[in-house]
Amino acid sequence: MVGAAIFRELCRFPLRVLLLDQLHDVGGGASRANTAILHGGFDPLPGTLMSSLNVEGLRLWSSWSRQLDVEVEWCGSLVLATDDEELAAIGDLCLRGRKARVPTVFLLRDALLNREPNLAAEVKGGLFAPVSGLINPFQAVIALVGNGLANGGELALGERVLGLRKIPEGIEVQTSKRTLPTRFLFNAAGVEADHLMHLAGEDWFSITPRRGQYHVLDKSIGHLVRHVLFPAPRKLGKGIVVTRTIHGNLMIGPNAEDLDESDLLTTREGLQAVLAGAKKLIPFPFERYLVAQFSGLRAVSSTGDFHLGPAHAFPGVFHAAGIKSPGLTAAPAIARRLVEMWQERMDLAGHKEVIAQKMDWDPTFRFPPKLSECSLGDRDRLIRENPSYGRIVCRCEGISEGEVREAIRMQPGATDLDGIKRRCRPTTGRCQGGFCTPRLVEILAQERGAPLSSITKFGEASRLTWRDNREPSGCE
Amino acid sequence: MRVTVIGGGPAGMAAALSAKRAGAEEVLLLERAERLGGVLPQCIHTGFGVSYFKEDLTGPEFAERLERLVAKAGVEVWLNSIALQAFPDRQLLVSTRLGLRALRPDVLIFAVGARERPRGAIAIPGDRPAGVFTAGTAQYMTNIQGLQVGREFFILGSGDIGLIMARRFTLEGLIVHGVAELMPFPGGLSRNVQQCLRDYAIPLYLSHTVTGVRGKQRVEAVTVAPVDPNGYPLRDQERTYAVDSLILSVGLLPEAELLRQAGLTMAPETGGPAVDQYYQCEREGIFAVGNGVAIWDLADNVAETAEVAGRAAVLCPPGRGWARVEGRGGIRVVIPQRWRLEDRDLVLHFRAGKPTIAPRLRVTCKGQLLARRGYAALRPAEMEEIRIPAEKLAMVEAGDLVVLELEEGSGG
Repeated sequence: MVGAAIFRELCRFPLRVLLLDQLHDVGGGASRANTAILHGGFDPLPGTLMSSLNVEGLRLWSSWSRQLDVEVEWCGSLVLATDDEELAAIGDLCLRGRKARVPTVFLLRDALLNREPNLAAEVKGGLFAPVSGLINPFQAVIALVGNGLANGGELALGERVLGLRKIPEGIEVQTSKRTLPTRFLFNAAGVEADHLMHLAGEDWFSITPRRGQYHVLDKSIGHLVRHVLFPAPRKLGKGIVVTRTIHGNLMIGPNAEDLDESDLLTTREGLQAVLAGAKKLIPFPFERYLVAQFSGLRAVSSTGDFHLGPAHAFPGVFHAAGIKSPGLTAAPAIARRLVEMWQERMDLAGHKEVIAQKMDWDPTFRFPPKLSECSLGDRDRLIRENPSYGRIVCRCEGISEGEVREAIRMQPGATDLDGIKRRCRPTTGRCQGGFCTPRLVEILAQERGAPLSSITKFGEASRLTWRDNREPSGCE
Repeated sequence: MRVTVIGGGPAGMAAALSAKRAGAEEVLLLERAERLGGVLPQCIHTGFGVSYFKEDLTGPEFAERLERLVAKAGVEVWLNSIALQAFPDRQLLVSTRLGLRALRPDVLIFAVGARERPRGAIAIPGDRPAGVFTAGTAQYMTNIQGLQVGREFFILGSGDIGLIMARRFTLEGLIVHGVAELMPFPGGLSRNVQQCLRDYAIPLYLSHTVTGVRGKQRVEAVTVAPVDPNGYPLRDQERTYAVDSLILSVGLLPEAELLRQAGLTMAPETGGPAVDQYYQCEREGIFAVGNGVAIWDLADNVAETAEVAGRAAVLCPPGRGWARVEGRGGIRVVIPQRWRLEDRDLVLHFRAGKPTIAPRLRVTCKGQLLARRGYAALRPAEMEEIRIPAEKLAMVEAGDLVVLELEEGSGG
């Protein structure tokens, strides 16, 4: 998310900008596995980067989401307390919020119940933050990258940075595929940002991957909550949240486990802890409505705050490291701040020509049509123009063949099943791809002119099938 | 009379056919796929049609027969047409390749089938690589698309499709390391346990479950452990199987979303709508048949339920009230859940909660015995039936409760 936002911002200027990602799609790291919340900004300690960038990022998302056609929902959030100690903690949050100029309202149980009728009996009071909500994080990354591409940026996927070398003209980046000379390098490598910092000669900073596991629950119980519900704050992050996704599923999580090495496993214990945590806020038999589980990594920095700025000893390198929650909310502000730092440098160096915005820069991005958001009339018209919009391939979410084809053809386009899923949602429903997976494999193969047996779940060796028995030689 | 049937599987075809034969002027059959047949075309094994066509057929043959009859009877068929929304007044919004269509038939028959429970529904922990398939998806990819989904398999769940796929993979020259079943008894039919596992020496581990999936890109291994009587895995007895695929056959659920939209309440034991003996739901003119009501053992059963509904949709006079039907004491599922009062015998379909040897079943109402029958054995995997004679039913009045239960002290 941060890298995509920086990419969009850099593409405003008359530069050659390349976005590099080691995965086979954009947004495949922390951006795809998080709570998908736009945080109000009352939680981070005032005076930190986390605090100011959260508030600024939230403000930017309200305009960027419109410019970029990204789904957001300003449903507000509640932090809930079950005892006196937690009530005190919420009081502190309220004060923090005041310092950060985030409007919050303290509500007692009765007032809370008006907003959330299903709260646990133990909940005594809570803090209501109206300016916060939900976002579609997959779309956000794709829109940011798509906007950059439309403004002349370039994208290279499946390419990992192995080394950095100073050269007279700037930096030589050694990747897994080639040697790339560049003037500037922006490090937004998520849980591996510290690794890139080490390559740039900085050892003082380190990142601990903190794993959080989640349950996604059936849409039929999405109405159980109206706001994002947080427990009163604890030491390790914001605790187990009960929220909706932007598409109406209920979602609970994350727990918090600090890891030595990145590992996206889910565990029986972790998932049980998530269920138990959620039930403290909303007592409900969630386990009867399970749809999917996943885990994500938060990049927890050794300094306790985001780290933004130019490298100490490597001219041309800028870091955005240790971006854990509220990094998704803060991403536009992080990108703005970092690009401003770069602009100052360029200004001082007398390169005024490159820091003036391009005349033809277009701030907008539009996704291909989404049938579920169309009026019936528009939908009918779309089908008449293109019959593939009339053929539904994903019955759970009601996604048509036309939408899937557009997800593959758009820029940046999907090249595997998870890419399609993040762009237009098939396989995210109740059947989790039971019916649509074979269809998606067919459409993807057709669009790419590739054999069925070459289709993967998320690139590389994540092949779905071993061979096509209909081809005499197979396709090993 | 205009009848619209949603779903062109065995249930939908049979319902459309019988409605047409019973005299409905216009019968429209909606199918979302590009061909009729539902799940049948991918079921290339035999065992279909023994009771419905009095002949042992493969799935595709069974589908073709029905399809020919449907065409001959003059049923209008729309392919690539999916019902997007259904309303309580039988209005229907349909997406077709020609545009959206709004329909409002006199009778609406849901023959929407079932979906498989995926990995997420049972929260198998571990990595999330490629190579975890539900049995039906693997069956489609193997038999329809001609793809080899894996080389070495472990199967969780002993539902019929899982058992069938164990045999199918073996016949393809692939290796099936074993089948784990959480319950202490198999989920599939006895004949499938014999013909698909035992005949090929594939081990069946009862009271076992998969405790984890490993592999960052493609499945590399699964861990399997026995479970205690409460279903909790005993992790110290965990074993690892080096496989590249995990196949899930952990249950089917009626696809009830459209029916819910139409304002129908669902029966928690089946996951489908509550129906009467003619498969009419709680609203006049709305019927539900096949696996969209409850999971039946065979496509033949599915077609037979649909035939009853299709005929009733056209010929049945309005009811003079309903009694409720409930299973208790070891009876997990009863179809129908409502009895429309009439002067005919009633056949109740039911499933036992656990395997029972030599049980006696009784049906009562207001303390009076309506029927009693002994069985050699009852198995949860097999739907059984009991007939209640019309003369016994004469005392049942609208609003009464008919109870089906195993007699205490019977069985073992």
